[in-house]
Amino acid sequence: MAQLTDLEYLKLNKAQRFGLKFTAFFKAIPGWFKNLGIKIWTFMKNFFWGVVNFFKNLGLTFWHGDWKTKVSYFVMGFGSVMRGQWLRGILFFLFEVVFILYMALFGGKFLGQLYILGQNESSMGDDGTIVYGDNSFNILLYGVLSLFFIVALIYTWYLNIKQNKIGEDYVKAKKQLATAKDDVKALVDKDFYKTLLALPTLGILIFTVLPIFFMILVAFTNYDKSHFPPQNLFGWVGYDNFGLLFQWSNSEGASFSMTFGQILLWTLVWAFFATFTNYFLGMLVAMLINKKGIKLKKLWRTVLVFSIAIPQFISILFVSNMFQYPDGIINGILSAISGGKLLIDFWGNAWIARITVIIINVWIGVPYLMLVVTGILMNIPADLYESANIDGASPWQQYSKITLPYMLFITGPYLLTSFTGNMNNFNVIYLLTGGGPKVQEYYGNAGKTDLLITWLFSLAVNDTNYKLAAVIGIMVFIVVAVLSLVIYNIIPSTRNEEEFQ
Amino acid sequence: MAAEKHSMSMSKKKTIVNTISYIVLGLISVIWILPFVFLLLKSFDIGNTGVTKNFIPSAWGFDNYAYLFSSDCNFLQWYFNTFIIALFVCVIQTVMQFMMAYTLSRFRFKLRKPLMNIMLVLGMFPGFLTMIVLYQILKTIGLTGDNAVPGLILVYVASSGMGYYVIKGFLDTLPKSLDEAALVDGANRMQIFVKVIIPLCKPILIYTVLTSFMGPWGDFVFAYTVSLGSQAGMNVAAGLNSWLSPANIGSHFTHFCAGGVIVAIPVMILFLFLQKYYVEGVTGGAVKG
Amino acid sequence: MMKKFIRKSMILLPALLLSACNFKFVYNIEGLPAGGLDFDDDIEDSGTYDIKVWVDDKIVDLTKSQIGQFVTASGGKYTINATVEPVDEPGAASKMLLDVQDGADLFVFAQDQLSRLKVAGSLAKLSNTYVDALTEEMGIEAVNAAKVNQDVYAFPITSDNGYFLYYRKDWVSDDAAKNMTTLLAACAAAGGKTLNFEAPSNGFYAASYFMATGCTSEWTLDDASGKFTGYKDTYNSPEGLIAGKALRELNTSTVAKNSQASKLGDTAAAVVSGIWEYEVAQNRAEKNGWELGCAALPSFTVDGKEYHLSSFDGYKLLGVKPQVDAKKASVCRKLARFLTGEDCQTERFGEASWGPTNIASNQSEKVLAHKGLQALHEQHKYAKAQGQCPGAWFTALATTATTIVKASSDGEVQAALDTYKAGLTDLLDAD
Repeated sequence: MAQLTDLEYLKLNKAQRFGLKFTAFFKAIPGWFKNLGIKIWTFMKNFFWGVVNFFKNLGLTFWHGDWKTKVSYFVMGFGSVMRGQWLRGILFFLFEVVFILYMALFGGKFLGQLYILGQNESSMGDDGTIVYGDNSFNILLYGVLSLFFIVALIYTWYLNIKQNKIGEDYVKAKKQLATAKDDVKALVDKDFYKTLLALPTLGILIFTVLPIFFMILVAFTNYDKSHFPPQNLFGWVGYDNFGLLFQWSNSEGASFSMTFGQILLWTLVWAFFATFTNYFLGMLVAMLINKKGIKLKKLWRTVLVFSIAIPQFISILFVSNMFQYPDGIINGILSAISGGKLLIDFWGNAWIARITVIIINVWIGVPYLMLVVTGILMNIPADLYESANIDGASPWQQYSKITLPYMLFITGPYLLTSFTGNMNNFNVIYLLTGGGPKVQEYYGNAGKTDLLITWLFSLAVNDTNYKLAAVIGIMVFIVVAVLSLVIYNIIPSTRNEEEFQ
Repeated sequence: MAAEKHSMSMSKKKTIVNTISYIVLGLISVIWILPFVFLLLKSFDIGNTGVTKNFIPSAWGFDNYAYLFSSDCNFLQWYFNTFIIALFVCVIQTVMQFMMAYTLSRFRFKLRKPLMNIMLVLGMFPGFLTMIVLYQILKTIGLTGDNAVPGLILVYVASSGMGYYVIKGFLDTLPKSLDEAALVDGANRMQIFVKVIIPLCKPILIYTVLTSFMGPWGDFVFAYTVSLGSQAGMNVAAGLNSWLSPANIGSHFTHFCAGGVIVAIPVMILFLFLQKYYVEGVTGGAVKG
Repeated sequence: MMKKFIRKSMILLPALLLSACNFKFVYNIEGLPAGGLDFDDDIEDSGTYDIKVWVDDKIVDLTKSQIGQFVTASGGKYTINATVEPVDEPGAASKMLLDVQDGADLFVFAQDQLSRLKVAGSLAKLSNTYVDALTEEMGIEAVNAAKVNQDVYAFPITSDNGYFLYYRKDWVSDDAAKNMTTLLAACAAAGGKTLNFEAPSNGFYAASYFMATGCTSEWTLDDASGKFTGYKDTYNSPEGLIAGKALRELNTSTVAKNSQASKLGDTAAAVVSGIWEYEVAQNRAEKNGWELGCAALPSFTVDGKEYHLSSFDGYKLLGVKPQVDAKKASVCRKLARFLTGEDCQTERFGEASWGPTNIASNQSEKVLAHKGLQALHEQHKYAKAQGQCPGAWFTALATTATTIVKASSDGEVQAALDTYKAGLTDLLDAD
């Protein structure tokens, strides 16, 4: 593509500009892949050499090291203690002890069966008794935890060796090693970040990373209602579950892949409307409240903020029942107005239900957007509007030429997060419709307003079909990640971290 | 003359526009408030305990509230549980998020970018999927059933470091020269964090405490699972939600409304008082986050 | 508060009197009601046990007192530390699946969860001696409700999960209630009052029409994998078409309303619902001064031929989970049998209006005087036991029924049935 000069670009009309950006975006895609390829290649290269160097250093350190260092290869922290760094040394040693105890008493037995996820079936007797066999769930969960532990041990072990190397070098160079007191000091000063991060990252590791790892692995097993621990075993099935996604059934009726496609489509449609209706209506309300000459600004704002304060499960559940057919309040009002003729089954018809959830979502989301937008509106330089006024621009022109571009520029990343947030907006759909109306042509009791996230939930909780729930979970992740990646590359970035400092 | 006429019509037009604006704003207010009015009205309805067409109760009374506090019902227990959870969560979660945010805002270390990216990616996984795993982990350490309250606190706060964005956005706006000046004065990093930075964070601190206090009131899925039938471990959202099951809604809908009002009141009062900080947090988070 | 206390003591009073009289029955040494059998698990099982029980909110206190009765009746043989928690039937099923080890030892669940719980191993099989005893005391239909393939997995605790017709007597006469045409005419004559019948939108009710004309839908469950592997379904048949026509006919009436919510005596003259509405309906009748009528579902006429609306017999079952300890397993079964025995069922009926499954309990005066249960028994002649079928089958049926009532010709009814038929294979478990 010939590069346009600025002047040529400015001559283009809007559609042309959009077209230009659009084609530029797609033309850039091969480049991304090339970059990605290069990145992966570099990473592999670095990784390979990293591994080689790792072992080389380990060997050299052992070979050249004194006896303290050599013992440290087996008793972690030994060298450190001997060289006076007793705090580090003891911590290294303690970690090793904890690891050994964990493996011996708890983790080892799970790790050993990880490859098969258990062999002994539970057996039930005629007298109402059961002898529980292996528990596949625990084997997988604590097997994975043990793997985490092993990685952590290897890393700590490596640090321990590095400490020995440094220790030896310092002693040789007659330099002063960091004492325990120095260590403590560093932890509140230079290395304060390590202190701060310890707890939050440990929490994330155990309560987010481990479970996610587990669920990804579940997608490769047959964990469902007939392979349900502790009574039954489940085992590895490879890619079979993902195969279902691409298996178009021959009959005209439901199949997993068709349902997945339909629900994915509705999820995207929903996310689009939920995001943009809220965005534009929220902006409208904010501009209305902030308009010059409007009094009682605080009151209007408080009225809207009021609805954020009430926990969603109360407000949404109540609203859902207001729209109940035929006995909800809304139908009461409708029939009172129409003399009993007009009653709407809001949750019974697919399209009415879909439109209703989008409308109710406006009610839920606009107050929040109003707050966000208000803050930004105040930041738009006032002189822009003044000069526009002087030029005689109409309010619409001012909006479309000043306000909107400014807003879009600032809130681009926010729009993206709220789009992906809406894709996973469990509360609104689950509490309003529960995914209904349910239809026969969908697999696994899914309904016409189900999002992937609510479908996943009902598959897991109502059908105990964890293997497919895990597959959907992974697909949700992929869709969200790809969308984020693509959109991040289109929108102008405002996320320069250092900008403010 | 012409100019005068022009300005006349301008001001007239302005009045019309303003009138329309007020009407629209009034309408909006009504739409946003009405459901809560209905909720309040319904909570006083003792004529019919199910879902009804009429928002004006056929008979008025405090029976629904009396039911909540009677021995027939575990509402007080649920409420107390949730309150305890919210109290602990708002303290611990705020501390965790500040620790994470401060680190990522002020320190530059090798794993900083990877850490931020990993947390971003982790956030893209649907959280519900991991519920059963969290249940098993809690079960292993004995924090399910009757002991669900500490278990829930643990799960709510454990990964809360991932929600550091808003605070970091705020911290990024504080000039680094503050830290540097304090460093020159001989303060260490911990002292700077506690004595210099935290006091400047009052608005965002209040915002964080407020939002993390509100969070536990709305969890009706995980709390239900973890309590495994025990009333001693149930929270108020799961309890109230169970009243709306098809079998219960006919006899418990008004109780749900009364319970909803009682849950909403303290949170709402807190919210209205601290509204200013909430607004600051939300706008800041959206722009910088 | 005072009022509440009085009400509460009124409820408790009969129970207190009952326990004060130390029952009218004689217990044998096994701690079971007279006529108790020589059970095959006659192991020495005296001792102290922690037993967790999940029942509906309404019968928590009652169950506690009944467990107390069990202990008393055992003459000190058992000490039971009972934990009775309020968990509703759907909740109990899903919680047992989530965690069978920490779950309840005894739990009440609805019949439609039976196969799922059995497959997951949350239910212990009953031995033949128990099955024989239950068959004798409750009849074969009740026992069949707890059967998966050939084995029995739970104790039927109530049979009142079915449905029948409620009506306001001054608007609908007993005779008018017998036939759909006269019933609808009576509703209309009462000033456009409605018949609330959730037939189109709820598969549970829609099946009434199809079963009435003789359609069947049977599903085979593979015992080993717990998956539905096949079906025999005659809903798409000439009989199905007749049922479809009747459904469409119902919906053309202006007074028929697709709703379950009871507005009986107010905007509705008649309602199809279950025993769970009884108390509310009775109270409303008394308060507003009209007489409540209960009857079997009406019959309907298509092309000059009359069919009686069918229904599902709905049971709630008391399950016992498999135990690690054989002694505890034995005690849990005995307790379950006690709780579903004649005396406990009669008492439960008196306090919470749970319709008994026990034949003797059903002959008690109080039960005979209960209009709702009598209507249910009347309907029982036309009812079918709810066999094992995929949960999605109800959804499929509801979708079909909803399409049928909107149909503008019999051809469209047939088309809806064809669609239904085509989709059945997909209800089988994938893979």
